[in-house]
Parts: sequence; structure tokens; C-alpha cells
Amino acid sequence: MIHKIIEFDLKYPRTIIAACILLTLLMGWSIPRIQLEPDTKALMPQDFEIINALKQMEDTFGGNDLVVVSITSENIFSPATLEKIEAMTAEIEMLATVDQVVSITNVPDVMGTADGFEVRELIEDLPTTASRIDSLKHRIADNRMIYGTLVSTDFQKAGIIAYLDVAGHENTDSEIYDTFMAVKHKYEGPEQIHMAGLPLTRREVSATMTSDVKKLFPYGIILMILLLVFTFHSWTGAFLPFTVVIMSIVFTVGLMVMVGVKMTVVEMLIPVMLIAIANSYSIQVITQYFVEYFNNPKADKDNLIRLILSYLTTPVLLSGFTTLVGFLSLRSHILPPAKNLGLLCACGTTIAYIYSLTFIPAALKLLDYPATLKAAGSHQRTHRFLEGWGRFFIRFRKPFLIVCLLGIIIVSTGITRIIVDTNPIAYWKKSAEIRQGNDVIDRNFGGSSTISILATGDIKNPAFLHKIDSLCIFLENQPAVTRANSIVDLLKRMNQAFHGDSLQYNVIPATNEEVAQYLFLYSLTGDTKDLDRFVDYDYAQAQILARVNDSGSKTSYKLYTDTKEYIVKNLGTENFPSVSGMAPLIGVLSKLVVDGQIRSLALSIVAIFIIVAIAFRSAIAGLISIVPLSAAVLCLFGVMGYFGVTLNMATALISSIMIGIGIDYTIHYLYRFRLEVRKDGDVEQAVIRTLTTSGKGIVYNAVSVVIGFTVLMLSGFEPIFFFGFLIVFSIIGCLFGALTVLPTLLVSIKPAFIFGKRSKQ
Amino acid sequence: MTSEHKDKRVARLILLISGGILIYWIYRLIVVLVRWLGHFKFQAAGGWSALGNFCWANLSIILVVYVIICLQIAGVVEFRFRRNFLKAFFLGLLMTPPIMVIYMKKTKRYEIPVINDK
Repeated sequence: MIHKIIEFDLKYPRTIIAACILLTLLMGWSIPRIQLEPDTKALMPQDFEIINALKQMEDTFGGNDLVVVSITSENIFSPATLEKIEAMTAEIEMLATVDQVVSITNVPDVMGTADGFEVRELIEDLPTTASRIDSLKHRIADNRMIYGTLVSTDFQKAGIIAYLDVAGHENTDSEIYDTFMAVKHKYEGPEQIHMAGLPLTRREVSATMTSDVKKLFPYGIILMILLLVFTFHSWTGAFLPFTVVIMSIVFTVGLMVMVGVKMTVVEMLIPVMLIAIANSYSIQVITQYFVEYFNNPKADKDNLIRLILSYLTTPVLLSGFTTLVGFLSLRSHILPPAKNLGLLCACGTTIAYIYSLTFIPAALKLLDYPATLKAAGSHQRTHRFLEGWGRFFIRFRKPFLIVCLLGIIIVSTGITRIIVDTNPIAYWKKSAEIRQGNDVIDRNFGGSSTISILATGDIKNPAFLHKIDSLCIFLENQPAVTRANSIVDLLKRMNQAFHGDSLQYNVIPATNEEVAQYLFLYSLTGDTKDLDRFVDYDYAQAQILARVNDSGSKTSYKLYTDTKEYIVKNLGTENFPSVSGMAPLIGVLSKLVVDGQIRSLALSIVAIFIIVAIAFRSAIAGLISIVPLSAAVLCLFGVMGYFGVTLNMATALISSIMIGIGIDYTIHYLYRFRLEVRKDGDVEQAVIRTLTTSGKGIVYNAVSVVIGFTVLMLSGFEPIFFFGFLIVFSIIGCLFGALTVLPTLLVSIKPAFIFGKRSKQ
Repeated sequence: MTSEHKDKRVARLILLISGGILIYWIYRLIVVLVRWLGHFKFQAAGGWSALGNFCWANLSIILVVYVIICLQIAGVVEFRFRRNFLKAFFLGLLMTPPIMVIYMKKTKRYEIPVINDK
């Protein structure tokens, strides 16, 4: 098969080049239609229980998309500040995507009257005297729907909550962001204004993604070109691998658009990853071509190409296959972006492999030899260094292995400190404006994250209302929850107002009739739209909405599971069928990240073990091949724990990718070492020869991968920055493992698959 | 017909289709550019400072295009004039490709590949 491909390459080089160009143009056709997906919900499997529950809640009670604006002033009740809040409220209401805006200047308050109660605005006239301000403060403090939600508990900040309805609108996040920013710039000073909310976060994700794509890809390409120019000192050596990389990226991204995959923060990594990985096969082909040309300058070009391809086919095929397995192991991940990344990177590397065995030989056949060439394979300084390196590690192999083992044990203890965090707000540095705004809202207005529980039954039944109330009390006792609101709060307030504002009536009405009467009275003087967020039209479904000020993944997951457990034990799931909201979503996402990480890591290690064991026909070979990788994985997670790098959507992918890339070094080393040992049986010389031949190639390959991934450290997203940092760290770890731990281990245990059975005896 | 003729003929046909696609792409790009320029008021946007801002915002793209141009011209210098590629490439990057070409023409020409081992 390979032989036929080589012959076809040599017979029809122009056709192959033209076909590669045509394929690239056809695949690139769809790229302009690429879509960014900044929504956290898109990171989850769409058939998941929590996603379905979230959709159901949004359909029934309106979207939980909201923007909270915080206004900080020396005196928020001063006429100037209140007028400003009123004007801001009116301006935000004008936005087409805004469903309802609530602030202290328009929030309804239930007031007791001689005939029962009526619904009025909290502030009908601006308070001008100290006594009126004090009275207003008392009314706010008594109202659970306002205190800590629209006014901070220290009365230093006032909030405006805009509930959004984005259904049927396009590009809403940008529009919402622009409008809120315009309002902020218009009204800021002397008051301070902060804003937070999912639409603003999504828009910021989109903006950072666009900026990252514009930055990471070009700088990655520049670094790759410079590396290739330095490595080969020729246009052929620089341009051909560059073309392969570009064609592979166009193919992969085009395929991504064609199959309808939108680009999330995770898929954004694909082009940069391909820059780092896809050129390795073509670099090997060109290196070998130049080396063989130097060995035999008068050789026929066709024979030269036949020779290099026959040399490279087995190790390159095997290393390509293991890289593929590393990526494909991500298919076992539960999260769609991780699955997509695995599959698309596997496609990208496969196409790069195919181009390296078709396009590059075809181009080499047609191109003249370069004017000047760097003698790849005889770089004296590297040669001498690797020689000394080999001698040192063979001489001190036992103490070195003990030190390595101790080091790995110490570093890996950091694993216990790993923090899982999938909160989208953690995408940015703590100093970022969006994160600061979020912190202000979290501290003063009960948080911008929510947990919502669906209650189904007879909402007017006091017994059922008591169940809802007990759930609210449970939620408010949770450390992360600041306030839990439901229709019960409003009914209690109506009951109290109806009974002359007596505190002893701040309880759930006693009968169905009373509840029905209060709701009817409310509809006469108030706006029933105020109830829409808590009950449906038929009073058959209600929403309990709790605000969460700690949206860390661990806290969110605990809150989600504890709430579900409380419902199962005390209330029954028939009346409270679903728990959803942003906080549970973040919590469940973090659980999926950890589960997916363990699953894909285990799968990739087992798959690599099997492939290497089959390739070398030895289980020991399989075991030895996974030792450097496992050590690197342990160190990687240990470093993450010690340095406080969180395990998130991006960093959770590293171990599988690292194994896919890192195994290449082990395979190349094992192949060459076996060859060298069997030449003369001199172990030390075999180690040195392996290091100075294949070892050099491994170093060049690792340097190219490391440089390719370094560019990720320019990202505006913290997870991508740390992904870049950690992958560089782990590739260096794999390189170190393959060039030090592996030779010392092989020399120490002298396995039969390398030394042969007789040598061992 | 020899395989070389067959190869040339098939390649020409495929390249013709590729050329058609490429021309269509360029046409689409020109349409987008013309539309954008139609809305763009040079003076109203702040004149040269707007152009400066645009260049700064797209610096990475401008740089990568420049590096690729330098790479290609260094390739021409290497293959057509048989000059040192590495020197040509870095001179192109530092002094712009036209100056590099003028300078490189005065340097030593290699008739056969020379090993550049440092």
C-alpha cells in the first residue's frame, strides 16, 4: 500500500500538489461561516437533565438572563442619586431585549390600607428629609424582596436588575453590552457603577475569543516559520512544512464548520495545537531527505525519496497512530467540546500525516536542491551535549532513578490540592473589569448566579406553600445562598399588609380562599407581571429562585446535590421535579470535567500500553512506555495543585494531549535503541548513539511543539494561558522522561524485547 | 502519452478549477472591502490616527503577511539567484524585501548546495 503511494507520488507529483490545493480550497469554502459559541450551556451535553430543566424553567418563567447594575454612592437616597437611578432604569427599559427592569425607583411595595392592601411603588416622591429617608430604610429592611437584592444591607449601594428576553433576537449580547456600557459611561461619577450578568460575560467571552484568534494563530505561524527557517536554512525546509500545517488547519476548521460545530473556548485551541503538532511528520520527512542527500549527493532523486519514505513509514506511522489514540481518547469525555477537539485534532493530524507522505515528496521531486543547506544530523554542539548527557545518566543511573522517584512522589502530593473551577467568570484575571463588577455584585446584591427549583402542585394550597417555604429556609441556611425568593414571600407580605402591617401576620395565609383573595387584590392594584417570575398563569407551577454569591464549582456542586437530597428526603420529587440554574450548571460541569478527565486519561494510557505492547510484541515494552508518561502526568497534576492552577475545561484536556504527543518520543527512542543495542551489544555506546541520532530528532520535535504551544500564553483567557504553560511543562517532562528515565530504566532492567532473551541470560 | 504528460494535463485541469474557486474568493473579498470602504469616512474616522488604530488592532495579521512575503522572496533569491536563504530571509525581515534583493545580488552565488553546519 505504502509502496504504491510512493510510486504514485513519483509518477504524478503535479497532480498530487494540484489535488491538495483543490482540497484545501474546497474545505476552506465554509470557513467564513464559522460561528463563535460563548455560552457556558454549550459546553454541556444538550440531552443532560440539568440542561433540559434549565430550558423548561426559562420557557415557563422567562429566561434567567439578567444584568445587575450596582450604583455606589455616599448617600444612595440623595435626590441626585435617586434621579440618576430613575433615569438609568428608564433608559435600560427602552432596550428591545429587556423584559423587565427593577430598581428602588420602580419596585412595587405592598402597603396596608383600610380596605386591605394596595400595591404602590416603593418611592413615590423622592425623600428629602432625614426622617423620610429613615422611614424608607425601615420599609426596605422589612421587605425581603428588596433588602439585599436591590439595596445592599449597608445601604451604600443600590442595584438595578434587568431581566432579559432574548428569544427571537440576534447578536443580543453585543447589543446589551453596548447599551449597558453607554448607560454606565453616561451616568458614572461621582457614583461608581459596576455591572455583571451572563450576557455581559458571554459578550466578553466572544470578544476575548475573537481577539485570541486574531492574535494566537498569526503569532503561532510566525514562530513556526522562524523555527523552520532556523532548523533547515532553506526555503524548502521552511515552506513545505508550513504549507502542510496551513492545509491541515484549513481542512480541520473547514470540517468543523461543515459538521456544524461552533467554536467554543475549547475548540479555539485546535488551530494553535495543529501549528504545534501537524508539522512534525513533514519535518521528519525533510530532515531525512537532507540527511540522505548529504550521505549520497549523486543519488537519483526518485530513489532518494523512495529510500526516505521506506525508512520513515513504520516509526512515523506508529507515532502518528499513538498521537491519534491520545486525541481519540478524548471521545470518551462526556463534554461535547472535549469530544469535538479530540476528533478534529485526530482528523487534523491524520491529514497532516497524509500530506507529509504525498504532498511533500511530490514537491521535493519537482523542486531543485536548495542553494545552502544546514547539515541536519551533524550539529556538533548538540551532539556533544547529548553524548555527555548519555554517559552521565548511565554512570549515575541508580541514584538518578532514586532521586527521580522521590521527586515524582513529592511533586505528585500536590494532586490533593487541585481545585476544579468551571465558572466562566474565572476565565479572566482578578483585576479584569468584568470580574471586579461580578465581585461587587456577589458581595452586595446576593450574587449574579442562581439556583432555581421547580415546584408543581396547587400553588394556592397553604400546605404546599409551607413546603415551598421550608425549601426556601433550607436554601437560605446554605452558606453560598444569600436569598431565596418565591411566591411565599409575596403572600406573607400581603398577609401582613392586610392585617395592618402587624409582624405576627408575616406568615403564610391559613386557607386556600385567603391566598386566592390576596392574589386577586394584588391583580387589582399591582402589575401581575411581578408574579411571572414566581408562578405560571394557572398557579400550577412555581419557581423558587435563590441567589448564590459563591459560584465556585465545588460549592455549586455541593449546593446542587444537597438541595436534591433535601427534596428527596423531605419534600418528594413529585412536587419538586427539577433543580437548575447557573450555579448547579457550573457544579455539574465541574463534575463532568473531572469524570471525563479520569476516563480519557485511563483510556489513553491503556490504549498506548496495548499498541506499544503489540508493536514490540512485549507487555514489558508497553509498561516501560507508559512509565515516563505516567510520571509526567503525576508531576503535571502535582504542579497544578501546588501552583493553584485550576482544573477547568481547557486544563482538563492536557493529560490526554500530552500522552498523545509524548509517546512519540518514547517510541522513537525504543526503536532506535533496540537497533543500536543489537548492532554490537555495547550498552553505553548504544545509549549514546541513540541519543545522538533519534534523541536529536526527539529534541528538535519537542522544541517545535513547545514553541508552538508557547503562543497560547498570549491568550486573554486564564485557562488557555495555563493550558499553554502546562502543556509546555508536560512536553518538557516527557522529553526529560524519554531521554533520561527511559535509558536508565532500560539499562537497569535490560528487558528482553530490547536486548533479546540470550543477552539477558 | 507519457505519465509526465498525463500528470501535467490532469494537474492543469485541477488547477483550473482551483483557480476558479480562488478568483471567486478574491471577488468576495473585494466586495466586502469595497462595502467596508464605502462606509468608511477617512476624515470622519480620525484620518491617519484611525488608520494607525486599524493597523495596531490588526498588527498580528500584518506581521504574519510580512513574514510570509519575506519567506517567499527569500525563496526566490535562493532558487533563482542561488544565494544564502537564511541571510536573505533575515535581511528581508529587517530591511524589507526589495532592499534585501538588491543587497543579496551582490553576494556570493552557489552553484551546488553548500553545507551550512555551525
